[in-house]
Amino acid sequence: MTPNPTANPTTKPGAPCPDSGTWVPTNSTDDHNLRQAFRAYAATLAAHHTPPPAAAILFRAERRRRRAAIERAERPLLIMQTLGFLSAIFAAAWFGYRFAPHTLPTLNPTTLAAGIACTTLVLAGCWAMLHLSRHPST
Amino acid sequence: MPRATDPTAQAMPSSLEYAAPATALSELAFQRLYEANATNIHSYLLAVSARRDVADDLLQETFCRLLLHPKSTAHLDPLELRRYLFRIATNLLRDRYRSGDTAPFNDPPEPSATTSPDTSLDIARMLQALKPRERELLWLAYVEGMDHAEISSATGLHRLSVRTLLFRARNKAKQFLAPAGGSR
Repeated sequence: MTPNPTANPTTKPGAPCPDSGTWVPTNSTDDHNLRQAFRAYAATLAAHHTPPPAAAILFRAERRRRRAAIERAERPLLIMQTLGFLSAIFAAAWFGYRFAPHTLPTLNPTTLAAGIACTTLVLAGCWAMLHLSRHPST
Repeated sequence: MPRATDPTAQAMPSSLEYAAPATALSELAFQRLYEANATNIHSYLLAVSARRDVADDLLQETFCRLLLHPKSTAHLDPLELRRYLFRIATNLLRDRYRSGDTAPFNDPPEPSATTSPDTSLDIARMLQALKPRERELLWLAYVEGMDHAEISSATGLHRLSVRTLLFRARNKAKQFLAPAGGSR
């Protein structure tokens, strides 16, 4: 027999019941009434409120699955973009240090121009990639 | 007993049907699973949240999570799967309460049709007076016919806690029991 889950868990009022797996059925009339009322209410709910169609859930799951797949696919790209951006910042800082004003007099103008151009190019490229990945339509 | 001869158990797909990985749960198997469980879980969500929009949304989310994580449910038999679905639904309800989106009983479902003629018991009113957890426990025990171990599995509460909390909830609920033709 299935134990009655709603039965009083105490063998007598106020006394704790040992965890024996057996139940002491009490107030069966109340229990019966409550169960009847709950089940009538459940039947009313089921009759008045139909759940959404399964197709809606399949559609929702499919949409979420695709979004997750896109995020997974974009993850390496995002990591590389971030690394590229960090590298560009590091390169800019290094160039700034290497070719600081106190060294400018001895700096070859061609080297300086090439360094500035490279840094600008890398930064612009990273920014463009990030911008395009966020706004593909543009 | 309702659990032993649960008709929904036969209607549910066997675990073999959704045992394959990834997109495993075929549309047909999902349809059968949904038909077997959706009404029960929807009623549960309606009774605990008392909001149609919330119940609809959480029901969809419950089954959506099942579809997105088929591997974690592949080894479950139909009854375990049913409890697993209730567990997801219960967790979603609690997340909702924790997030502060708690405006229960704005839309009491059909209050006029819920009065038991025998006991003058207005279940909707009674549920309104109970805490969400008490509603969950009473519903699972009385409507779904689960025992303490099953309720524990479906709610994540310890089995002994279930026993105590259910006993208290039941005592609270009994206060709403009135003899037919009572003053209430």
